[in-house]
Parts: sequence; structure tokens; C-alpha cells
Amino acid sequence: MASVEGERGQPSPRPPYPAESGLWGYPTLINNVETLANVPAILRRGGEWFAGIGTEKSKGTKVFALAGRIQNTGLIEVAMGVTLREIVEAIGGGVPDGRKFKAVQTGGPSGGCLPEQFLDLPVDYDTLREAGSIMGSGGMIVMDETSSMVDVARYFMEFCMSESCGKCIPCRVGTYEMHGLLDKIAKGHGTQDDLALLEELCEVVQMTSLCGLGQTAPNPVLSTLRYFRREYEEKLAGNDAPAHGHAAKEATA
Amino acid sequence: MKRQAPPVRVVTFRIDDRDLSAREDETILTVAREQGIGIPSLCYLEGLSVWGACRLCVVEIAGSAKLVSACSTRVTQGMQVYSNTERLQRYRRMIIELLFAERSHVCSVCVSNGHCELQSLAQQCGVDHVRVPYRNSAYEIDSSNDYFRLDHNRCVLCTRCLRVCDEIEGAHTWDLMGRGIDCRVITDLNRPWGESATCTECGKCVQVCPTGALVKQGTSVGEMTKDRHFLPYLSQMRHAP
Repeated sequence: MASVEGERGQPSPRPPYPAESGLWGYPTLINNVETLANVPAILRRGGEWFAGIGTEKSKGTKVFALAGRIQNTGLIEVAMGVTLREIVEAIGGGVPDGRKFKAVQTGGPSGGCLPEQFLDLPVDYDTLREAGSIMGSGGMIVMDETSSMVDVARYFMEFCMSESCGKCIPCRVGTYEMHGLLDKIAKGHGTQDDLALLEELCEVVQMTSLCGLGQTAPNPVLSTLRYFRREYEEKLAGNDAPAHGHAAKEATA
Repeated sequence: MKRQAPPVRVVTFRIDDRDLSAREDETILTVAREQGIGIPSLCYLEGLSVWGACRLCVVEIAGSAKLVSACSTRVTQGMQVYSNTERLQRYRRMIIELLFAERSHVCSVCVSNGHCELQSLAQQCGVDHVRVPYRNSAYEIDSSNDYFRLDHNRCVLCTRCLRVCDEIEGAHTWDLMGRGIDCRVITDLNRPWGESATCTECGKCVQVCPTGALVKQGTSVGEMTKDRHFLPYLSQMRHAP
């Protein structure tokens, strides 16, 4: 909205919500193109037809952008409620070169990574949220056994860092610092203190950021920590000799 | 014909364990300040528009999982606000640490030492160490203006300078450029301050700056004090109906 008004592309605190006071102070309805694209079909064939597709709470279909370590990449449209396994194995053709499936990241850069035990979950809004991920933009990236989950988290954090507008402090500096810590851990220089600090930053950035970008930026880190913590721990191994501890600095030197 | 504004209602609510009442168009932060309830803030300055970016004034609202910024949220009937929980204290300390890590705030050699809002916030919130790695910023100082000096290394990007210049002085000399961690304030289209065609050299930006980022020329360590007495008066005049 700020961009349409000719201003710098930055969010404003809510409330007021756009539906109340949006573009140039008028009530404004904001929808994704994907949402609006459903409208003609619903008008033509009726709401009952549309509601007949999908699950109880997530109705209709959803378009996913399937990518990563998978045979068939591209855009797919499926009914809500199909399992991740159907998408990855039946539609996507599975992981190529006989390698083993490791995780699927849903919801775009700020979504979460789900490991194999979630493959039989139905894909709908509530189930994904409960598992620690989101539907988000409908991105779906498949990782195989050769992918490092710390690298994956670092990659997505790099995206969030460069997409941060810079208005609020937690997102502007927090994504930068989280990326720095992930980079340090990925390169094998991290310590337990770094990991603890990373987790604390995740919480602060998630809870205090002004807009959705900052609030969801820690998701890839949180979900990989939740399901693949061992990979982080392995990267830390051997770095916690007493002399190697994180030296604290004086704030007011 | 001028439309009659609807009458403003008075609502009752609680901040921490205190029962309070206020006009429904007041924000949590203004009410708290009136009542002497200390909610820390940095980008907020009475007399300027609300920016909502420092996130230091975030508070908890009973029944809501999300935190809200007290500067931008109005009080509502029956609202229960928690302004200083252990969790909020922890978040505020981290936000201040992030600010110290972002630029090079070395108080001991700063002209604003002892008169700096970032420094007092750190003291008030109990930040005695910075655990996040320093960025060690080394931006060039703009000393091209005859009267004032800009040191990006002390800047917290609160945009008070932008707002006072635009809303009170009406010059709009200041702007932001860059994104994310590369954000910084600029004069005109990123020209040296001394060459600015729009700056009236009124010095309001210097007076509202919370840190030693905008200071008077010729000040030494700890000598820069700021005077904001003009702001409530001018703000009232600018916004008079």
C-alpha cells in the first residue's frame, strides 16, 4: 500500500487494519492473485461445488510450486487435504538418483521444514500450523539426505535478511545477526553459546517484529531445530573448549 | 459545512494492577506516561507522528497471543495490559543489545555521553553486556554543514529527524535510503548535508535525535545536550484545526 501511495515500501503498525483504513486512508481489501483467481470458478459453478473440494476447514484447491531435489518440478494444483506423500511421490515423482527423502519445506522462505514422519499428514492450514510450518505462499521445496539443514536455514535467513525493509529493529538487526550465527555454525565454528543466542534471537524477532516478514523469519530455524537439532549439535562438536567461549563485551565501553 | 466530530467516549481498562480510565482515542503509551507507568520507547516522541518501529514499547494484552506496540495501540473498554513482565524485559534488553551491535555506539568518546536516550534506556532496562556479535560499522561522518554534524555510527534509525523536518519544519530534507541492515538516513538525494538546497539549518533534527548521531559542531565528549521545548508548542500550532 505504501508503494502504491508513492512512499517507501514499509509496513505500518496495526490496528488500524487496511479493511478499516488502508490506501489513502480508505477501507482497502487486499487479496492474493491466487485467491481472486478462484472467484470466477466459484461464480460459475457455485459455492457448494467449491466447498465440496478439500477438507472441513480448508476448502477448495491450492497451487504449489514444487522444487528442490525432486524428479518433476513445477506448478501443481491439488485439492486441500491430499497428503504430502502424494505430492512428493506421486506428483513429484520422488527424490531422484535413488537418494533418500529428508524433509520438505512448505510455505516459502518463512515456512518450516517437515521431516519424513509428517509425509502422511493431510495438507491443510491447521495441520501444517500444528506441525510447525505454514501454507504461506505455496512454495514446496524437497530436500534429500545430502542436504544440510543448517545450510537450508542459513539460506532462508539470507533471503529474509535481504528482504527486510529496515524499519523495525528486531527484523533489521535480528535477521542479520541470526544469519551471522547460522553462518558461523554452518562453517563449523559455532559454540553452544551461539546456538543458545540463536534460539533467543528467534524468539525475540518472532514476537516483537512489526510485520509478518520478521514475525515469520525465524520459522526455518525453529523448525529445523525442532526436527533436526542433531545436525546443529554435530556442527558444534569440539568447539566448546573453555578458551573458545563467547567473549561478552561491555555495552558502554 | 464542517462535519461534527462524534463525541469521544471514555473507557476503563487496566494497566498491570491499576484500574484506569481514558478517552478511547488515547494510546496505551500516552496513558501510561500520564500515570507514571514507565514503558520504555525510542522512536516515539510526543509531538511527532507515530512510527512504531523500535518495538521497545511492546506490551502484552490479556487474551491476545500477539504483542502490540503501546505507542500505536489505543485503549479499549475492559482491556488488561501487562507492561513490564519478565518476558517483555527480556525482549527489550535484546532489542537494545541489537542496537548496540548494529552501529558503533562507544559512549566513552561520544559527545552525547550522559545525555543519550539509548544510554539511559540500556541503564533503565539493565543491559550491562552485549552478547550479539558487533557489526563494527564504520560509516563516514558528514561534517559538511557549518553548524551540525551527522555520524551514522551513532544512528538508531528512529526517523525522528525525518519526521520533525517533514511535519514541523516542513522542509523534508531528511530521508531513508537502502534496505534492511544497509538502511541509513540521508539529506536531499544523498548529497552532503552542507550542500543541501532544502535544509533551513533550523536544527530541529539535532534537538530531537535521541543519540549522538546528529549534534552541533564544536561539541566535545559529553557536551551535547538537547533542548526540545519547542516541540509541544510548534506541534500544537501545526496541527491546529
